[in-house]
Amino acid sequence: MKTRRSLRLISAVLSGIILSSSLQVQASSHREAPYITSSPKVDGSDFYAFTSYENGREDYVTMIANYLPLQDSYGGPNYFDLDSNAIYEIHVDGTGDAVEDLTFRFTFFNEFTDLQVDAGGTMVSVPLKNIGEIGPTNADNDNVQVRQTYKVDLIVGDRRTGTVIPLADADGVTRFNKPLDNIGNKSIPDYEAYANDHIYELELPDSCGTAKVFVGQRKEGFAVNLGEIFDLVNLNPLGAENANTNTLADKNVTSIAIEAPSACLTEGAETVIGTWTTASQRQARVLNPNPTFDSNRDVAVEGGAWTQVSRLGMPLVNEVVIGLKDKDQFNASEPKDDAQFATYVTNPSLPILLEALFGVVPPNLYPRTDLVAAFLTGVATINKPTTGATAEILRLNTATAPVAAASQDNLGVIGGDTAGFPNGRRPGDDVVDVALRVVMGALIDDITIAPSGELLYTDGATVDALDFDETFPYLTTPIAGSPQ
Amino acid sequence: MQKNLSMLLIVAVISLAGCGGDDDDDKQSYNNFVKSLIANTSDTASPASVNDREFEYDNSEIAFNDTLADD
Repeated sequence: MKTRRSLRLISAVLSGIILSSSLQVQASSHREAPYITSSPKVDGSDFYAFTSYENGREDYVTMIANYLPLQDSYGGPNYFDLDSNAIYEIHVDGTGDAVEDLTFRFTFFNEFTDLQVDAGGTMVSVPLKNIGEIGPTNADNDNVQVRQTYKVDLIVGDRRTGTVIPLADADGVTRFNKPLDNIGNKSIPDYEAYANDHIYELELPDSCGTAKVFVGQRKEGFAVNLGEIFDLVNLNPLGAENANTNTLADKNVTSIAIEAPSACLTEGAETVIGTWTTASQRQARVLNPNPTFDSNRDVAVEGGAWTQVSRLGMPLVNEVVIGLKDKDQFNASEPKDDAQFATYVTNPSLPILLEALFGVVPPNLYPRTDLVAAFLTGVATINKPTTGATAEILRLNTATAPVAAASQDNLGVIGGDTAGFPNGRRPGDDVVDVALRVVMGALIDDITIAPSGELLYTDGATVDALDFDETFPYLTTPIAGSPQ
Repeated sequence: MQKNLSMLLIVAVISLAGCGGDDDDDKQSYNNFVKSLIANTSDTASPASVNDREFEYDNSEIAFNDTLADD
């Protein structure tokens, strides 16, 4: 058995270790693969799926896919529209085979109004996104030159060849407004009210009730000590959980959020669902050497089949599990084909890197069946489906009762809160600390196999449920672009 | 069934499109390949594999004028 004394001893030894390795490690959920750095609009950075803990919404599942990370709020005049030549999807597997049974597909459209001013008797188009106040309702767009709308399709079956059902609100409207980013208080005096007026309630088929949908900018919810992580984990991994700065605290992100009835996402008696998000672009693109507004020719002509370029289910997998050479391949892959990446989980490199950097002892267990359970199959009695494929998706047991924000443990299951990560993922789950501890053997009871398994690893940037709203869409109002 | 036939047709067109404009049978015209992809844009098709294709590139500045022209 491990003892508190032995843990203190190991901790003391670790504190004195000097970093000397030249090995590299990545630990961000953002811009993790080579190709995606060239297409930030379709870069999925975080994905959340949890039973809603808003009062009265316990029978619903909320899924939030974050894209276009690392937004500086002042990034005008274009700010951070999503890609109108891409599709963004949230997939749900209700049968455990790691193949989507339902897909919510979001497609975006640019709405351009050529706003002009009289300059010396000549009407001249203006260079800014807006020329006056916006809001507080989603219809207050007279001063807006460029904005985005979107449609939501529910696809039953295969995401490409299944039955496509356009979703509409109670009035039959199928096109919805995406709020402009938080330009600043002069342009949008009450951004919170303005954004909240962009939450839509869509009718679901088969008497399934309604789903809430919101797409728009939010304050980044992920917490990580990013710079130090990239710098060979240049921090004390056994320090206080809040010892360091959350590098992303001053960033925004764009969220695609949907809340649907749990009963409509599950299949039969199975209560576990598997979820993930993807983004796809057209396979071919021809740049236009002479883009002209008047001829309605944009900067490029795109066509061909939808080609997946981003994939995200469990956090940090493509960042700290998949080898660099295979990251683009992982982003293009489907969960049902994950056997090709199995070695990265059964024989992970991260513990070896941490050993080189800090002298901690990796678990001597190969294959790493503990990681297979946490990342690829679900944990027995927690979120493992009755029959299931081995695949990297975020599994949520919808039968687990949600925990109110004030009572949530940000370490989720390893903290004793079975409604948290890896049983789904809530905004307040500190997945970086959980991942560090699990990869070093927190789920292995035998100290002879995992000698450093009970150390309290942390990146020093903490997060918890009280950092977020307790109502849909949970992620909070984005940081304004101007300080006034 | 109709979707399967459509996908088969797209694959066939793409395959044929790469055959023109080159003396080397192993190489395909990249421009024609791209044009075929765009001409056969579909929400239901699978992407065409490029791993086993060898392309020949044409640096003509007007190669894609027909693709970029107004409909």
